[in-house]
Amino acid sequence: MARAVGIDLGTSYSCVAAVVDGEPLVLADDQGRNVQPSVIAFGYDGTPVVGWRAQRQLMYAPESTVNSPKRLMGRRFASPEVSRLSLNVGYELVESASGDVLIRVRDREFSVPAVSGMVLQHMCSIAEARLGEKVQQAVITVPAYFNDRQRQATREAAQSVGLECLRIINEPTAAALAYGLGEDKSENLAVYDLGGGTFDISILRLDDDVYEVVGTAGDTFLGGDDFDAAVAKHFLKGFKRRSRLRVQDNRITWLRLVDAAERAKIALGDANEVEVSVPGVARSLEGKEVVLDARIDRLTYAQAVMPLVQRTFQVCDESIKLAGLSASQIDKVLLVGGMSRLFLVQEAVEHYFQRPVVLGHNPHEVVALGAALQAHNLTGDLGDAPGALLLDVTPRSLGIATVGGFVETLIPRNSSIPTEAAKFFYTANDNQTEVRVAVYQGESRKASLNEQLGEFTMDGLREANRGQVKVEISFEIDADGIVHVIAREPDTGQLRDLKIELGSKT
Amino acid sequence: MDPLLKTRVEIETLHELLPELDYYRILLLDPDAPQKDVDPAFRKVSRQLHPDRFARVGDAALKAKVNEIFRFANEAFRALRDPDTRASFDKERASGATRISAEGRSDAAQDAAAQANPEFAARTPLGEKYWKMALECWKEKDYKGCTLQIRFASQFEPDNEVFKQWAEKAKQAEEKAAGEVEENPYKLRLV
Repeated sequence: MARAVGIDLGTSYSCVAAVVDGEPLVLADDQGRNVQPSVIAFGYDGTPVVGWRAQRQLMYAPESTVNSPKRLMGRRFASPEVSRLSLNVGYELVESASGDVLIRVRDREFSVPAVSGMVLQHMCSIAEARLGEKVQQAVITVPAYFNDRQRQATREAAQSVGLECLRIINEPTAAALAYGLGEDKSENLAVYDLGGGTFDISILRLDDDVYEVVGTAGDTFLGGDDFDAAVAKHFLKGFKRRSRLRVQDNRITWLRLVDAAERAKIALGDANEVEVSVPGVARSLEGKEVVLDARIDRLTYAQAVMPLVQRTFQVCDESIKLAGLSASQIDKVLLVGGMSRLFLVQEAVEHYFQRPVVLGHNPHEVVALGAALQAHNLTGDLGDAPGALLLDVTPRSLGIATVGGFVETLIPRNSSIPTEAAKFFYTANDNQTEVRVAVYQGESRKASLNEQLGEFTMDGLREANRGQVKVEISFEIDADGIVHVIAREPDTGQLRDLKIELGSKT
Repeated sequence: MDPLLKTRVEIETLHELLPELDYYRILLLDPDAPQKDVDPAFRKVSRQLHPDRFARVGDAALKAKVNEIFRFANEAFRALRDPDTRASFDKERASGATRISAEGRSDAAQDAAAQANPEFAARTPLGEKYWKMALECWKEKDYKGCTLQIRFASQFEPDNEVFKQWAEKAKQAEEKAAGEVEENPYKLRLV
């Protein structure tokens, strides 16, 4: 039987791992690199190249290179996140007929899952080369705070390249799984996961081999990219003040600035102060190109990004409250995600939780290792001893729209999954033969402020006076956190099961 | 006996019994058990019945049954872990119910949402209008105004539990604020 792997499909970097001879192992490429940039470059003939080779193309041909496709997963074109993001990327975004985002590169349009699928395929080919066998199944990780649409999109990404997605698990949970391997303990663990594009915090209770998530919260638009953007803005502000020149307002300039900010971030890990130099930022009065030279030290860097770090702590407060605990009841804090390498972040988190943090293994790889363990748990031989058990929760409340544009919650957030909730609907008019139901996910009372997962019509109801026809609609959240809807009309004698998949397939 | 066959028989039996089981029996919990026993009981049941434990079994029909059983265990856990919901279930159970009705569960979900985000508490348009103003007052620490607005909101929804809780909270905050002013013996003087 082919082996199943675990894939951390990250915003900036992806990583693949598998359990080999009972031990989880990161699978490196032929040059020994453990992670691959989540970047897809399209050549002149439209052939995609993924990973490190694609990363190089990002600087000189940003219009045909897709970076961080994960940030667009499951988002509608009209959402504020997409309009914000479209300013910061080199490629073009267009709207599909169903309102989803399409990526336009080299005169061809790709759906976001199709592009993410290319990354998955690349990771699988690396795994196949290392394992020497075909890889057809994978456990894929997503940020805990991903909603149903984003999870569906992740599944579609796997489908688009013929990979069977065994299970979608949450990144912090996967990290905890890799971390707690083979140790007996009973404690409360907080996983602070600050990655390239998203921030997640999960509170878990570990009890022997059971990993129970008791609280989870996050922000799908807060990560290393935002840190880099904040510092790039800081450079620009200083430059404008000193030179009084008009900065060239184009994507290449911006990408160069962001790149300089990223390099400064990494360099500040070793040095107290670094210099950056970005060419071609502006033109002088004589028309010559002007180079931006700046120095930044740790303190200035910290000041530039502190508002972002503070935002993560607001989310931490929320998750701890949801878990019914206080910060002092957390026994261990595990830092994962690329950004946790930043000394500034480590220090701030230690200060917030008032205890030393655990850095675990390489923060880039720990999520993939956890996914590999879960893949092994789900596929191993029947005779094997059962491994660790994950009990996860749904990160957002699920509800339906009611009169006046309000939402009625059916499954509150933080409910353990799989779970279900049922709701009866009665016809409001005589001879009404259909019922329309709109499903939402989110924490606002107003329907319009939540994410709409989908809308469906249950038709073919029998004709009768109003209020006489009863329809039972049950909402089910499966172990992947994906929502299914089943409608039944119990009064017509025959039960009619109608399975509706939410989330559009484009 | 083949261990898989044994599990299969257990699952089939449990699935058949499911309509008769109540929240306590699915979690193998004594109805008089103290609150602290609920969590460990759920974890114990999870170890045996979580669908992941059956991921390696090829039989889709068996998996569907396990899923159904575990969803019920989850529902039971959600009801019993909260002492208030547990108490209301105990009442329903006394009259023969095995689970909280769909309507009751829907109300419980609403309450949970209202606890997390007070904005959810209002259920009528006019109640909502005054309730919002009350929350505004609370934010600005105008507890007197808050009490007043809640009183208005309550006229439209006299049975709203969250309103009552907040009215009590506002009253206490108001008293506390008043107390603080009187007890403070220090005065700032500009020299």
